[in-house]
Amino acid sequence: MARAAQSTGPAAKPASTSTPERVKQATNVMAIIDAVGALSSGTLAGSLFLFDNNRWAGSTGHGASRLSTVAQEGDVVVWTTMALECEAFVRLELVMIDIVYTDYIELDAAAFSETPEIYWFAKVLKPLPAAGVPYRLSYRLGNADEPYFAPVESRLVPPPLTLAPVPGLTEKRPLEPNQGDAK
Amino acid sequence: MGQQLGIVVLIDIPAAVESNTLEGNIWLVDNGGWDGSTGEGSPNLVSAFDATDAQFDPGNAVLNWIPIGIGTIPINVPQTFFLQDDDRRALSQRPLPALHQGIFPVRIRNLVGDDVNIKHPEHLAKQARRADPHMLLSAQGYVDPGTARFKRFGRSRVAQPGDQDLVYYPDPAILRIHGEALDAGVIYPAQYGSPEMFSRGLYWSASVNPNQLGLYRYTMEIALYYSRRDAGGKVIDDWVILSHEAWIKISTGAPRNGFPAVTLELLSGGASAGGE
Repeated sequence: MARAAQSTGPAAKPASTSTPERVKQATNVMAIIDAVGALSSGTLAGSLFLFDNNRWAGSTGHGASRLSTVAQEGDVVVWTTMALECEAFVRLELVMIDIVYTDYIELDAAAFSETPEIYWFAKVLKPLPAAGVPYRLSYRLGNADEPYFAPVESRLVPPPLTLAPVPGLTEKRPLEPNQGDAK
Repeated sequence: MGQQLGIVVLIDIPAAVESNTLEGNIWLVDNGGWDGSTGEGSPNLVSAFDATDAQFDPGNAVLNWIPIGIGTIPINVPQTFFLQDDDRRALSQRPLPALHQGIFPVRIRNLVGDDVNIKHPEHLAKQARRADPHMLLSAQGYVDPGTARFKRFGRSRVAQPGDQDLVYYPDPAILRIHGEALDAGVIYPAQYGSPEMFSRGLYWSASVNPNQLGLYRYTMEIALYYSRRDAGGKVIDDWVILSHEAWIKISTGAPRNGFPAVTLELLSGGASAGGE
């Protein structure tokens, strides 16, 4: 899959060279799952904690089940999973995105080489709609027969137009010039 | 058997290094919601321990801290994943006796005095058998690291400013744990080395004194590693050490059944289960 993504790269390159191509970024969405808690309560509510590493760009909702991850055209978003108890089996089974968003998102899954660990990744094909692209995660836990669904939707969202001052982040970063908001 | 509590410390390392603070860039999660932990998924975690059973169960409760950088490879991916090609080749070799199958026992026979011609062992196998290439985790196989490896790999390669793909943030490390909870003799943390070859090595763990009821604060000193350019434009490795506070709450009588009013004191005829 990585190879396929690379082969489409040159074709997707913008023809105009007036603006430098934005550096593409891999953003990780990491799920921490209290598998024992979820299995004993029968739901992922309260046992699913989502985080990403793009908070400086405006991602919100860290530490809860509803995460909004900022992603721009050309970015890759990677979903990884970790159980709180390392003995527990946890696997991200599906990243469910409505079919109307196929123009925006190219979705795929893979395993870390030679391991049974699964990750999912999405390529952002064009600037995301202002309301974002909602998705829902489902997981396999332990030896439960049925998948467990995230209690609420999370989103991939375009960057905010003006960066809100994030507490703790003193340095202001300029917005990238060609992030598609000007269309 | 004592209670095991895992405390996952998640850090957005680039943001924390950039702003030189953990405030807003750290989140903690533990698996003690059952016993009343609060603040999971936030920076202000209170890990709760129910010490009710400690009277009957002498096993110490244990805390384990697991610091993780968001965006690093998940901790459950085996360490063979991170091997360089040379290491993979070395590991995929068969052990010496197996590699020299035939020669080895002959050599032993030669050493113990048997008359064996080891210079011309025509009867021996020509070459060692290859390890099964389909075997999972055999440390052989793909060189292609996969898409998700962007941020994890790359030894201080020269990165252009803003080129996040090449910047490498190793997992954070806890250097020291100190504070009120230690001064009061509530937790006894120490750094341990994992005996398992392919795990992440050192980790912090603490045993908990179940007799000290109450709420106690502790401070973690956390090292974050990153690459930066020095004055000459050369990329060098650097680190910052930042601290963060968390709490531990030790109590008795966490409701375990449908009769929360029935506590250990009632059951055992009023014997005190620990002064508060």
